[in-house]
Amino acid sequence: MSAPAWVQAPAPAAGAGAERLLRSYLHKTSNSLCGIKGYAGLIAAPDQDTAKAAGWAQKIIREVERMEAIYRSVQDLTAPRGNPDRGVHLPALLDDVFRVCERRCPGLQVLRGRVPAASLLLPKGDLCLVLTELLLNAVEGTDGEPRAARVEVTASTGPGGRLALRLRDDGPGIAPDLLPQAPDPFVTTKEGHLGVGLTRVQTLLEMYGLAWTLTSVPSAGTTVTLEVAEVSD
Amino acid sequence: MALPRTTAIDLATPGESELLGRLLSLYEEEARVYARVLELSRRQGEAVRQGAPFTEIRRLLEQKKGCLDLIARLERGEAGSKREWEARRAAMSAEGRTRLRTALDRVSGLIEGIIACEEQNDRELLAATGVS
Repeated sequence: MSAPAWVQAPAPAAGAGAERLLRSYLHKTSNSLCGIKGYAGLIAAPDQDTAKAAGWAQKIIREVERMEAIYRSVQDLTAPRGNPDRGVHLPALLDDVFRVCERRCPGLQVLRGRVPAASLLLPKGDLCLVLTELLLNAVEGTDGEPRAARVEVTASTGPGGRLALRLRDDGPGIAPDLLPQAPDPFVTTKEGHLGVGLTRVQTLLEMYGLAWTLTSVPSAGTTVTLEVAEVSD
Repeated sequence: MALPRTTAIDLATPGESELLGRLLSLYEEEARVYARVLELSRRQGEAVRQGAPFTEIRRLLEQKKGCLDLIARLERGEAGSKREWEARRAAMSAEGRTRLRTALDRVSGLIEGIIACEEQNDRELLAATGVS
């Protein structure tokens, strides 16, 4: 059976992202801890060759650095969350985020559609984190290197006045069999990457009860739609 | 836990044979336990890939912790032998030192296998789900 040309990641159950994150972090750190303890034991073993002990010490440092990267990727998710910043002017905030991301990634071009003024449903700091993750994801090629990327951002208002942003990139897309797992922690096709970008997005949006979808057309691009604000009358 | 004794070795320094035997037994036992950790790590990677329930991951992590605790107990039990070897190192025979280092290399290889297991899990996932 041939793969569908357009697929969508299934919506996770509430709290599922946080549990998956926890489970995967436990898994991802247990081997490193085991290695660190083992190498330290070898260094402490009698009659050690100095060159070998130095090599084991280097391996300990490498594993500690790996664990530091994992720690950094979850650190800001555990900080106390603020209340939604309802007074913020959404179009101006988006402009600021897009400008910062474009400066950070020279190959990135964000095409802005009209976004109405609306009240945020999450703190502006968290919206910035989410958008930055998504834009960085769009600009990284499958080899993990930055590439030229165009992202179209449009807004639409759904039932109940919820405003959703739609970010559509022109990247390579996500393979259909990978898409359902794409928000899982440590799932990545990019060499040397942790694969926690979409997990962070999912975890943050879940914290505020905001819906999001991820769709992709292989070789044509990926689209993320996420609720971020409420349009006032 | 009592360690099994290895066969006697004819070495130059008095007492070296017994001391070396104790240390070789220690590292043989450690190698056995690290091989078990490696097996548990492989099963853990498989469980995560298959989205196994949290309780299953915790069970495997607990078993790994049990193995590491056992290694710590073994190490504590032979701390005196390690100190004694270190103190008399210069007097030990070349053959004895080589055998000890070989035993340590085996343990080192298993620890590297445990670390590589994680990288292998990632590589398999990449190979299975590469972007078209």
